[in-house]
Amino acid sequence: MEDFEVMRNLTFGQYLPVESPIHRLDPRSKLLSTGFLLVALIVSRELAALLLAFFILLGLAALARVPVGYLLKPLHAAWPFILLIVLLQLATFPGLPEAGCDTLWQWWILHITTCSVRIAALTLGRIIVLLLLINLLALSTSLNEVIHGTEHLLRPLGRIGLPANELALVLAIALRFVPLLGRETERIMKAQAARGADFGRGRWGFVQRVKRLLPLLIPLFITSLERAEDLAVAMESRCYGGSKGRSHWVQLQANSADYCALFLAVIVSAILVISPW
Amino acid sequence: MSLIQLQQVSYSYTVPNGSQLPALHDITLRIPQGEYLVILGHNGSGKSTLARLLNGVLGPTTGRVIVDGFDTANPHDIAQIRRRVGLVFQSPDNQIIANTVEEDVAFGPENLGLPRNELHQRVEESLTAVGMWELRRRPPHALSAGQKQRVAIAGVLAMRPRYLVLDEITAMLDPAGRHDVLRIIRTLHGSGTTIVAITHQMEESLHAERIAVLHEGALALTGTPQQVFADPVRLHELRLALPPAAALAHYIQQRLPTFPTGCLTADELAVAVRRQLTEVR
Amino acid sequence: MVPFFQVQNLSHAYGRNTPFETRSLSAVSLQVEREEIVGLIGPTGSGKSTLLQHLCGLLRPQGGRVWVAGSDLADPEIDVRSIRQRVGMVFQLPEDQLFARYVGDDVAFGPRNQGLERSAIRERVRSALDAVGLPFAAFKDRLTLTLSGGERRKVAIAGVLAMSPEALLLDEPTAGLDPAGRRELLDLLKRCHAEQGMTMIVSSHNMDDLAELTSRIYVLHNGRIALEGATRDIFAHAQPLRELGLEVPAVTQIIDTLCAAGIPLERGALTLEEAGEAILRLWEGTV
Repeated sequence: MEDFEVMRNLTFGQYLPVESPIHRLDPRSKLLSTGFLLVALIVSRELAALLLAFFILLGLAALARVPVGYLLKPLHAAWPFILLIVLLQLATFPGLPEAGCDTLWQWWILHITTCSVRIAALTLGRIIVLLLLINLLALSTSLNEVIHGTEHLLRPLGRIGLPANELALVLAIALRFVPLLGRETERIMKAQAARGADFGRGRWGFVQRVKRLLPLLIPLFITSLERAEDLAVAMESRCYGGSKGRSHWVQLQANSADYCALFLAVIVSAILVISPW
Repeated sequence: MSLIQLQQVSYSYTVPNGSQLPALHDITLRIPQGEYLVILGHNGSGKSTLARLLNGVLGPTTGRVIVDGFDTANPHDIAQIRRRVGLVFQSPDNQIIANTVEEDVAFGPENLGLPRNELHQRVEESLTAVGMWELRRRPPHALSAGQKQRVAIAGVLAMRPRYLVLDEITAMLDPAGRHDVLRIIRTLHGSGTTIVAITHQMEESLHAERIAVLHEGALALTGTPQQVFADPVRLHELRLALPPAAALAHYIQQRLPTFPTGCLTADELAVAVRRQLTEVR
Repeated sequence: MVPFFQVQNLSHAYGRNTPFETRSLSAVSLQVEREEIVGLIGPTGSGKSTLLQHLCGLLRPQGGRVWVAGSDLADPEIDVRSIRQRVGMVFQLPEDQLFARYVGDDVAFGPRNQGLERSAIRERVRSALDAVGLPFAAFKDRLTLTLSGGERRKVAIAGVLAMSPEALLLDEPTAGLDPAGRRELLDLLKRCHAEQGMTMIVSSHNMDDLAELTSRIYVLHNGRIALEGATRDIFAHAQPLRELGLEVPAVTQIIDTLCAAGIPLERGALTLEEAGEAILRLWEGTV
């Protein structure tokens, strides 16, 4: 029998609602810190620095009261891809003898050199730390907070025409309706299945699969359009007229903890980039 | 000059192929401040169109809609009109846009550009008025339909409207939810808000001071509940029904012509039955 | 005579083995004989919809047993699709599931999935549309989206009737309909029952509908059967129902009010006629 329940608890993001110093941080400081670290990771060149970052992340996860299992979940899901990327790097990195790279193994166009080993290890380190960093952010910050934080950060760009408030509103509304869409999907799937619909579990070609999904997709699409119209009327009825002149309910307050966090993030980023040993 | 006036208002929808779909025809109606008006009508009679004309979401094809002297056809007046006329709709979900209750109720006041402390005051007042202050941090998907509809009402109340237009707000609620919402509306009326409630639940119209009946886009009947429910045959023609107690009274009256007409509630019926009993003895 | 629906100790939890696990049904047992119309009432969240979804083969029993027309739904060999054809399910707000451009095509969806021949499909669509009061010739080529809400609901119901089910499950069938629309739907259901001997289970918050349609009622609360009995008996006792957040039919409430005002009325009227006659009998001896 089909599993209709899959869509029932649809939510985006991995937010873990616990109380912790990291959860309490202003989303802006978390976003900026993550941003700095992200950039630093991409340009980092020393494995030792990556190792340090990894252990710092573990420490932060503990501080955020996030179980290690939750933190490492993306690795569990993504390991085949990571393995593929690393192996590709290992076997195809152009480690030329002039650059001081000794070939360790060769076959056809594939070759493993000391340089490619080093690069592959670096890539592995970067990917792992990157995934864990983003996951930690997602675990400790609700998407609603992320949206508000991003909107606050982008507000100064409003002067050059970036519609930060409108974008945030669009994202917030989309987020608000995700669980509802999940439940509606379940309801319509069941209603059509009750009329004998078979939603195609891979037995047909792509086009056939899409055709069989139409009795689900079309009603969802229609209700979404009707909903959009209703929402627009409701928003206008409450005097919405664009972001000009609007005040803000959500006020973010940065405190010393946030500045500390940001400071630490900058330090660690510097270490990753400069690797002063 | 506190009232809403509809002066010979007609409205037609324009269909994609260019033709017109008439929805309302020559409606003239005065709604003085403080009144509790119920608009009854069969599905498709134009009730929802009428609701949207009252706050300028739709502009009349012919005729005028005037709110406290402001004309809905005048774009400069619309902001003033929407502060005065709050509109609550039928579908609880399609009115809530934010991810927590309090953020959603703040949406309206935010649009008015109110300062922080006033935002707080309005949100707290409105949520308390609908009994949802304790649940202010909840996300909408963790609320029942009745709770969501109360949040929608709070969101509109936060604008401090003088007139509250309710477009079949209990249609999607279970009896418990309906009961809660109606109680809140009656309280609001008690404190001076004008109520224009669109419904096809006959029982809900018994609280009205006045009822206006729409039939196929035209105003077929207006009057007090007593007057409107006096003629069951006419009501049937208008695709409506009598409220249960009135229907029962009518049934008895058919067989016992001396039985009084005009009972609308169970209590009135009880009085009539007792009187009839003592008279007969 | 084997009951059409038989449920024994049924349990169900959504999201088992996830952090979101919620128990929906606990040890529910009931049975419905052929050609009965049974009502299912309960506060929102009591498990009514989950129960109905088991009875039409959309959910497999996790604990306990469910038999539909003698077939055990726990049997892995069972052809779930035949159950779904024999038991039609009309969901709440069924007009939301319409997807075809033309009315006829949407109603034909069910028969088409059953693999019927073109002429047979046409016949099914014709009788289904005629049954719901939308004449086949006039409506089969109408654009679905141009219909009114009430008409769309009829199209959705026609879509279920077109499968020629032996039983019909209905979840809040009259929700959102105006008095005239409600009357049409109730008459339709009574016709299906009278003309085709359809077994029905109606889940609703509208006690007046149930008073008119059903002979027996099950009351669900927190996933368990709290009360069961003949419709008249269930509605004769308002207090236990009120405690569960439920009501009794409007006329029954009125009779209760009259009795509370000291009028010596017999209780138990479910319909307008019964209530009217009961009141008129007060004057019987004196006229």
